[in-house]
Amino acid sequence: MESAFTRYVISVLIADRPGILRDVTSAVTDLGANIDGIRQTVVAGYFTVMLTATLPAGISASDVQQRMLRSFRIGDASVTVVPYDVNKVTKAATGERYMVTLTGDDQTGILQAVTSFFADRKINIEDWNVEFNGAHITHVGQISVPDLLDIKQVQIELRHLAQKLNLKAGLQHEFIFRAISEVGPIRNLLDPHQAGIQR
Amino acid sequence: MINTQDVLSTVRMLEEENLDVRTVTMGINLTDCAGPVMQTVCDNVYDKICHKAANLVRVCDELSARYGVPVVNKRLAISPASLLLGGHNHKGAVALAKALDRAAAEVRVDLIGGFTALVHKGIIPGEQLLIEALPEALSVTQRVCASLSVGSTKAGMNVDAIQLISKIILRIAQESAECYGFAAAKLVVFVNIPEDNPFMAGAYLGAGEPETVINVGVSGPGVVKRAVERLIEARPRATLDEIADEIKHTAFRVTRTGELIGRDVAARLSVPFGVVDLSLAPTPRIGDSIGEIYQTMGITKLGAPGTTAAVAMLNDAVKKGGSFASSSVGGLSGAFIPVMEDHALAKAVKDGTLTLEKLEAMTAVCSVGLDMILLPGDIAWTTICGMIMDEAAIGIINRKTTALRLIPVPGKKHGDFVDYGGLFGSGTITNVACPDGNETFVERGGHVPAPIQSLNN
Repeated sequence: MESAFTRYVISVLIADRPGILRDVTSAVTDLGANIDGIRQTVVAGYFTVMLTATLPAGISASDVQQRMLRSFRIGDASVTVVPYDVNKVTKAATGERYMVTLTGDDQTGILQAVTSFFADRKINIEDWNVEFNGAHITHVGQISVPDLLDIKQVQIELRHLAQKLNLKAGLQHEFIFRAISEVGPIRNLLDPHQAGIQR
Repeated sequence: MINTQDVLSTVRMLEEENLDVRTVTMGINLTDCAGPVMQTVCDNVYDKICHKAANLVRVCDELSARYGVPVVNKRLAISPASLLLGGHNHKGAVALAKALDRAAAEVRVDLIGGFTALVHKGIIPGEQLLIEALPEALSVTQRVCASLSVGSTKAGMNVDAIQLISKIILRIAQESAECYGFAAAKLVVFVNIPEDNPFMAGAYLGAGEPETVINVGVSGPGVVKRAVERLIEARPRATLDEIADEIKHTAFRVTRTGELIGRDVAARLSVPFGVVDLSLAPTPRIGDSIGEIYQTMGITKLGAPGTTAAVAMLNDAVKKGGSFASSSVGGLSGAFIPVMEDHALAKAVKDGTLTLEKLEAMTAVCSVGLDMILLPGDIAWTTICGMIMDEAAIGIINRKTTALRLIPVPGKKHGDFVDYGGLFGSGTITNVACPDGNETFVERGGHVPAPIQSLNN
C-alpha cells in the first residue's frame, strides 16, 4: 500500500536578515507539511537551514521548491529539495559518535587535510564548526567512527596529522562531553536503548 | 551538536587542568577463600583475584582512550584479610600478604587494599595476627595496603587496640628504615571506616558490599583551582558564596566524569557499579593541589586563621555539586589534605605556618584526618597513641570518618626533609607542639564508650 505521506530533505541558502526562518517554515507549512527535523546556522552573514518535512503524498520535490522560492526575491535564495531516503541515512550514520577538536593557528588546507583523513577511513562527518579568533582557529566536529576501526590508532594518526599542521588535536567519545554538560542520569547515556533514543 | 564552548571547556579541563579519574578500584570478596591450610588459602586468593580482575586494567585503558580521560590508578580492594587468618600463624599472615602482592602484580594493578582488621570493639585472634604481622607484611610487599578500624560513633574507641597499633607503627617504620619508614605510608588507622572507599591506602570491601564491585575515585583539584581563578580574574572582589557556587558547579562536572568511567568499566566487566568518591585528591604536581585552592581563595599562608573555614567551605561545595551530579556517591567524599602529596601543604608545613594542631582542626571539617604526616624517628608510642585518640575523638563525636597515616622516619628529626618520589611526594619532619605528658592517660587503655550521639534510634 502506498504511503499517504512523503518525506523531503530541504535546504535553503540566502544572505541573512530577520524573518528568513519564518518565511521558510511558513512555505512548507502552507503545503500541509509537518517539520520533523531542523538545523539552522549563519556563516559569515549567510543564513543556511536544513530541515526534514513530511508532506501529503502527491506533492513533488519540485512543487516544494517552487513554493519556497516564491517566498524570496528572485535570485536571492538557493533551495534544494530531495526525497528522504532512509536506506542511505542508515548507511551513513553507522558507528559511534566522537567529537574532534583542532586548535592552533589558521593556514590554508586544514579542512582539506582533515576531511580527507576521515574520508579515507570511512569516518562520517556529521557536523563541523570553525571559530576564528584572529589568527587562532578552533575546529569542533562531530563524527561517526565505524565500529571496526581501532579508536586508539585513529587518535594516534590524527595527532600525527595535526602535528604536521601545527595544530593540537583531540578525539573523544561524545559521552564524555554529554556527561559533563547535561544533567540526565549517566546510566541513560550508557544504556544502548536510551542511547538509541537520544541519538 | 554539543555546544562548542562546552566541548572546549571539557577539553581544557582534561588537557590543562589535570582532570582525571584518580582510581578505578575493584572490590572483591575473598571470604570464600578461607581454609585450614594457608597454602590452599593463598592459592585460592591468588586464583580468585586473577580471575575476577583479569581484564580490569585492559578495560580501564580502553576507556581512558575512548573518553580521553586518564585513569591514573587501577586498584583492588578485598574483604578484610583478617577474616582469612583465624587459626593460622604469623608465617601464614605474611604468606597471605605475599600472595595478595603476587596477584596484584599479575593483574597489573597499582595497589591492593584490604589487609585490614576491624577492631573497633574488640580483637579476635585473626585480627591480632594481622596487626602483629604488619611490620613484616608491609615491608616485604610492594602493593599491599593495610587499614585498621579502631573506633566508630556506634562502638566508641578501642584504646587497647590503639595502644597496640601505635607500637606497631613504630615497628613498621623500623622494618622499612632503609626507605625512610615508607611501609608506614601503606597503613591507615580509621574511625567510622567507609566500606566502599576506593582510595588507598584505606580501601577495603565491606561486609555489606557485593561479591565484586567497581568504585571510582575522582580527582580535580586543578580543575577547581582554575575555576576559582577564572572567577576571581573576572570578578576580583568575588564573595565567598560566589566562590562556593563556582566550586559546586565544577564538582558536578568532575563527578560526572568519574561516574561515566566507573559505570562503563562496570558494564564491560559485568559487575555492579558501586560509588563515586567525590574526594578532591591532590598530587605533588604544581596545579594539582588542594592547598593551591585555598591560596586562590585568599589564604595566602596556609595555616593562617580562616584556613579551617576555607576547608569547610570547599568540602561542603564539593559535596553539594557531587551529590547533585550522581545518586551513587560514597566512600570518603570530601577534600583530602595529605601533606606530603600536596606541594602547597608540604611547603606550609616546612615554613611552619601549618602545624599539626591546625591540621587537626582542619580534619574536623574535611573527609580524612592526619594524612601522610612525617614524624621524628624517636617519637614515643604514647605520642602516636594520643594523636590517634584525638583524631578518633573528632570522628566519633562528629559522626564522620577520620583517619591517620603517620610515618615515623627512623634516624630523622624535626625539620629534616624526606622525599619518597612519585605520587607520595616529599615533606618535612614535623611534630606535635607538646609530645609528652599524656602517658598516664593513654596507658590506662580500655575502651572510650560510644558517645551520646550513638543513641539515635
